[in-house]
Amino acid sequence: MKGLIVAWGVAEAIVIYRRAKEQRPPMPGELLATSGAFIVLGILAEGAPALAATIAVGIDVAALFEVWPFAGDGASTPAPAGP
Amino acid sequence: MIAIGFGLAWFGYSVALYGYCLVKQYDVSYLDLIKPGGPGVPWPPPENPDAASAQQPQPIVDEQYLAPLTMLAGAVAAIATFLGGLLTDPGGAAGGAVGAVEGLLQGIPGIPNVPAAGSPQASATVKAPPGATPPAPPTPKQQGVKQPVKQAAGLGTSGWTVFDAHKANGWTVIDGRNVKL
Repeated sequence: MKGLIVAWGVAEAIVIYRRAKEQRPPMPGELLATSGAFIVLGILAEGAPALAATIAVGIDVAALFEVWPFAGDGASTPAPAGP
Repeated sequence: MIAIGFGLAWFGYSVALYGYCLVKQYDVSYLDLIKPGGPGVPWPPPENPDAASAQQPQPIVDEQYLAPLTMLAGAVAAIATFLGGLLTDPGGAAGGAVGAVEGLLQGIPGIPNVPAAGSPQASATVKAPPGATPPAPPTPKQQGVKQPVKQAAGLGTSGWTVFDAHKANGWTVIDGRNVKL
């Protein structure tokens, strides 16, 4: 369970870091979507904690290399240009 | 516990962000902010078109009614507080109300300075009216104290109660008890 929690924290940090680089605050919906996957993994961790932790770390690595973007990454739409 | 803590932090952050959008008059709702997935909200969000053309908002209460309404609100709050205190501690609330009324009355000229019932001053001697000479302190003989005790033969008591009394260090000792006279 500890590995899962650490992976969850890392995922939230990745989302926040990317939004801060784009100079915009992370939307609560994005943070919620990121947590949704880890909530499911938390349920899986009740039966197979090692497997859940492994999947969670895999998700973090994929997001770090932008192989598998988090749900809500498409929210980084730029502001419409002014007239 | 961690999930609860994250939930509280997330809720607080979402409300703070929504409040920021309201202050900046962005055209975005709370549901748009918390909606997971989807295109999300562009940043910065578009401003509310009605806000730009909004006129100066009318005050809720006219200035001339502000002072009396404030006093009335204060009185209602005081009464509500008193009633609330009465429900929880009737003696304390009643005593506090009586003390407040007495404090108000003492500030009004012409009303005698009557101490509250049960106060130390109430059990003391009543203050003499101005101009009157205070009564002379009772003499030791009137107090029934002989000082120094010199009971000689032949001295009758004649209705006086005789104590074994003597003075010591400013105190009058009567029957072994120190009495300040």
